[in-house]
Amino acid sequence: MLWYVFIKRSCLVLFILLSAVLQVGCSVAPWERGNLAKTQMLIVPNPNRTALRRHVFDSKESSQGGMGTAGGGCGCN
Amino acid sequence: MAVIKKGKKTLAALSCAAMGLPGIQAKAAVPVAEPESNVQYGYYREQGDRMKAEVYHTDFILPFADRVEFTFSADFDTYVGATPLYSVPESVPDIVSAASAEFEAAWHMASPLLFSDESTSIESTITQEIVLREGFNYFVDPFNGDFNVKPEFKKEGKVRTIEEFIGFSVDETATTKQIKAEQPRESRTMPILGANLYLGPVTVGLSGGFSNEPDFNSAFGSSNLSWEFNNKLSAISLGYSLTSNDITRNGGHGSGHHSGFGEVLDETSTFNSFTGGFSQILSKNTLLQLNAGYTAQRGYLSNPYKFVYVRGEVTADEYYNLLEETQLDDGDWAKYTDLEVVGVDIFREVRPEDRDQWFFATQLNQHIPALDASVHFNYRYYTDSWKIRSHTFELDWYQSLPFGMTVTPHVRYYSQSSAEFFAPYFLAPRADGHYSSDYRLSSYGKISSGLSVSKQFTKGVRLDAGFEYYIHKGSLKMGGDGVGDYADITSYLLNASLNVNLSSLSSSMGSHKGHDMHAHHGAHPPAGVMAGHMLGKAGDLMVGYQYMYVDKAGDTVRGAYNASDESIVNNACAGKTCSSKAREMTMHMHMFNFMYAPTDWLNLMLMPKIISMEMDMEILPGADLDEAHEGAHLSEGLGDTLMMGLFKLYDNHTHHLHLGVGVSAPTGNIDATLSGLEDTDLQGYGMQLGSGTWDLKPSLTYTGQANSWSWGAQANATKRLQHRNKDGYALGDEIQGSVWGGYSFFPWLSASVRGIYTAQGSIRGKYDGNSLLSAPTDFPENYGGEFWDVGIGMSVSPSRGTLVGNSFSVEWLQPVKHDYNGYQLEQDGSLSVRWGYAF
Repeated sequence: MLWYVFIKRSCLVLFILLSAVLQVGCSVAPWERGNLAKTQMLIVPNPNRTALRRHVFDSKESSQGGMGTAGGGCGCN
Repeated sequence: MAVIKKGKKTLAALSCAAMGLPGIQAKAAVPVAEPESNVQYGYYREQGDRMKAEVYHTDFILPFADRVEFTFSADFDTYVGATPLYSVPESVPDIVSAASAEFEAAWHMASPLLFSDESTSIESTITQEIVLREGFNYFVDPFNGDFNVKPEFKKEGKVRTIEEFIGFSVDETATTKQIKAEQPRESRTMPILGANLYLGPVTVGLSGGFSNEPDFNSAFGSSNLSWEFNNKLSAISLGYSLTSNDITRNGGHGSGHHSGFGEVLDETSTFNSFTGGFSQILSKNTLLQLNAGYTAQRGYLSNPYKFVYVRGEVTADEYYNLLEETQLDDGDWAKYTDLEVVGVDIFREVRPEDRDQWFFATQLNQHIPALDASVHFNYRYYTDSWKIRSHTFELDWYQSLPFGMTVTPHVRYYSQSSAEFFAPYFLAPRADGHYSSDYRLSSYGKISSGLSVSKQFTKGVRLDAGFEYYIHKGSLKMGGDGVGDYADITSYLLNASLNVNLSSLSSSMGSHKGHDMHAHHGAHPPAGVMAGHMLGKAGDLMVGYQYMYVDKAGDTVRGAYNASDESIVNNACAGKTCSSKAREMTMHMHMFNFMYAPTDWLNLMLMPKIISMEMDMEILPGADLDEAHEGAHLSEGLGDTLMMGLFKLYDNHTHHLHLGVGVSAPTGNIDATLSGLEDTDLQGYGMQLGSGTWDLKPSLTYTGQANSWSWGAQANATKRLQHRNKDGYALGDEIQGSVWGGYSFFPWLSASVRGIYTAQGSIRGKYDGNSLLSAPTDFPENYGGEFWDVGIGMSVSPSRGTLVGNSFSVEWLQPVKHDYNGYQLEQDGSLSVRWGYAF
C-alpha cells in the first residue's frame, strides 16, 4: 500500500527531525530572537499574496495541500 | 521590555505557521488590539485568447474581548476566455471537433455523409472492395427480377462507411491538437467568517464560508488547534476541514456556462481534510516547519465541462443500429455506452468517485544578518490514489532595503506525473470506464519566477505589488517523460495589495482619537451622501465600506405614467418594433473608501467599487422571436474608480463647508454582452459597469450641528469629460441637490430625513458595435430623467467601548416623483449602508 509506506516514512523522518531539533532549539534564549521576530522570517510573510498564488496553483495543478493550510472549498477549475 | 516583545513576535512566526484558516492567517499568539484590514487585487492571464481572471479580496480582523478576535474575508473573482475541452490526434478532421461544441448541428452536418440513402458512394464501396471477390450475384438477386442491392448488404456498406468515417487512420505518433471552447464571463463569490480564541499556549481557530458560482456551490468549515511548548520554541498544530460541494448544470441556453448540448447535472462531493504540523526554532536565525496532510475526496470529482475522444466506445455497428432505430440526436445511447455522448466519438469525461490525497511539506527560513535578508526554502511531496505524484520546490529571497522597502525575488519548480486514467485521447475504451483529457492531470513540469515589492509606510500602512511568470511544458517534467508539447502554455499573475494595521496606527497617534470622535458626533451625513464628511486633522486616516442596493421592478414607465405593452412595442424602440422588455433589474454596489488628510484643510479620497447587476428580460406580445431575448442577464466586476480631493472652506464647529473635486476613472468594463462571450451582442447601456469616459465630479457640502440637532445640504454634479467613449456613446451629465436634517436620540444614535432632487441627461451617441436593438434598454433616449426622492436614515457611532472609531449608517431612498426620459423600468427604491473607521 503506497499510502502506508508514505505515512510510515513520514513518521520516521518526522521523529528523527523532531528529536534533533528539540536538542538544538533549547539553546535560543528569548533575547536572541530579534531576527526571528522580523516579518520576513514569518512562515507566511504576506498571507494575501500566498492565498492568491495558492488559488492559481490549486486551479491549474493537480496537487493540493501544504503551505501551512487546510484547503477550503473552491470550484475554480 | 523590548526584548520580551520581540520574543512574543517570534511566536507570531510559529503560530502563523501553525494556524491556517483559508484566506486569513493569524499573525500573533495574542489577539490583535485594534482592527486590521487588507485589500488585494489580482490579475491572472494565460497566453493568447485563453483564460483571464480577476480576483478581488478584502479581509478584516476585529478584536473582541481579551482573548477573542473575529475574522472576515470576502473574495470575488471573474473569469473569461477559451479553455481546452478535449484533445484529438491532428489527423482527425474538423467535423469531429465541431461535434463537441454543438453536437446536434455537427451531427446533421455529418449525417448526409454517413447515412444518406442517395449516397452512391456506399454502393460503390461494396462493388470496389467485394464484388471482385464474391461475384455480383452475391449482392443482388437478378433471377428473382430484383436488381437492387440486398438489404443486408446495404447495412454492411453503411457500417463500412461509418467505420471509415470514425476510424481515420491515426498514426500513433501523431501530434495532438487541443479543441477549445469559449468560456462566458462568470464570477465567484466567497465570504468566510472566522474566530480565533487565545487560551495561553493554546490557540483555537474556527472558520466557515461559502463559495458560489453559477454551477458550483461549496460550503466549508475548518478548525485548527495550535500549542506552543518547550519555552515557546516549538509548536504543534492540528487542523481539520470539511467541504461540501454541489455541482449543477442546466442544459441549453441561459445556463451561463457553455450553453449547448448537455444533460442536466446535479451532483455532490464531500472533502474531509486533516493536517498536522510542527514548527521549531533551530537557532537565532533559523526556523523549520514540517507539515503533513491527508484529504479524502468523495462523490462527483469530474469536471462537467471537459470531454474525451474515445475510439470504439460506440462501434460502427452500434452507430448504425442507433441510426436505424431512430433519429440519432434523440437515440437511446445508454444501450451502448455508460458515458454521456456529446459528439461523434466524443464523451463527457469520467473520473473515479473517490480520491485520497497525501502531502508532506517542509519549509526552512534562514536569516542572513550581514545582508538583513531571509531565505525561505520550501519543498512539498504530493501523491494521490489517482497515481499523480508531484514535487514542488520554491526559493524566496526576502531582501530588506532602506525606506521600509522589501524586495523578494522567487523561483518555483513544479513537476507532476499523470493520473492513471489520463490520455490526450483514447484509441480504445478503458476497462474501468474512467477517462480524462484534462491537461492538468497530464505529466508536465512548470517553472515560474517572479518579484514582489513591499513598502511599509509609517502608521501601519503597507503596499505590496508582485509579478510572476509561469512556463508550463510537458518537457519540463522531472525525468523528461512529459505529455508532449500540445498543452504547453505560459501565463502571468499580477497583484497589488494594501494592508492597514490599526494597532500600529492608534499607538502612534496617542490620545487624539477620542477628541476626533467627539467632533464628529451626530454630524455624520446620511449614508447615501457621497463625500459629505471630512477628516478633522492632518494625518488622519479613514477606511470605509459602502454598500448600495437598487431595485427596479414591475412596470415600464413613460415619463411619469405606466406604459402599456402595446405602447412599448410600437414606440419605445426608436421607430423599430420592440420585442423584449426588462421585467426586473437589481444592482449591488460595493464601494471601498480610503481617505487621508495630509493637511487640516485637504482630504484625499480613493474609492474603487465592485458592481453586480442582473436584468431579467421578457418577450413582448407579438414579438419578432428572432430578435427577442428573455431570461436573466448578468454583469459583474470592477466599476469606475473615484479619486477626489476635499477642500475645507469654512469651519467654526457649528457650521462647516467643503468643496469636493473628483475625477472618475473609466476602470469599469463597458463590453458586457448578452451571452457572456466576448465580441457578441452588447447588453443595454444600463448594464455596463462603467461610463467608459473620464468624468468630473464636483460637489459642495454644508453641514451644521447644535445640541442634538444636525443638518446639511449638498449640491453635486457629474460632467462627462469626453465626447464619446470607445463604444461610441457617453452617458448623460447629472446634477443633484439634497437637504437633510437629523436628531440624536442618544449620544451614539441619530436619525435623519433627506430630500433629494436629481436630473440626468439621456445618453449621447449610440453603440457602434453589435447590439440587438430589440428592447427599450438598447436605446440611448430611454435613459435619464428628473427624480425626486425622500431618504430615511439612521446612524450609530459608539462613543465608548471596543467599537469607538466605528460609524455605521443606513438610509433608504423612496421615490416620490420620477419623470423618466423615454421608456424605462420603474425604480422601487434604493438602500445605502455605510461603515467607516477613522483613526
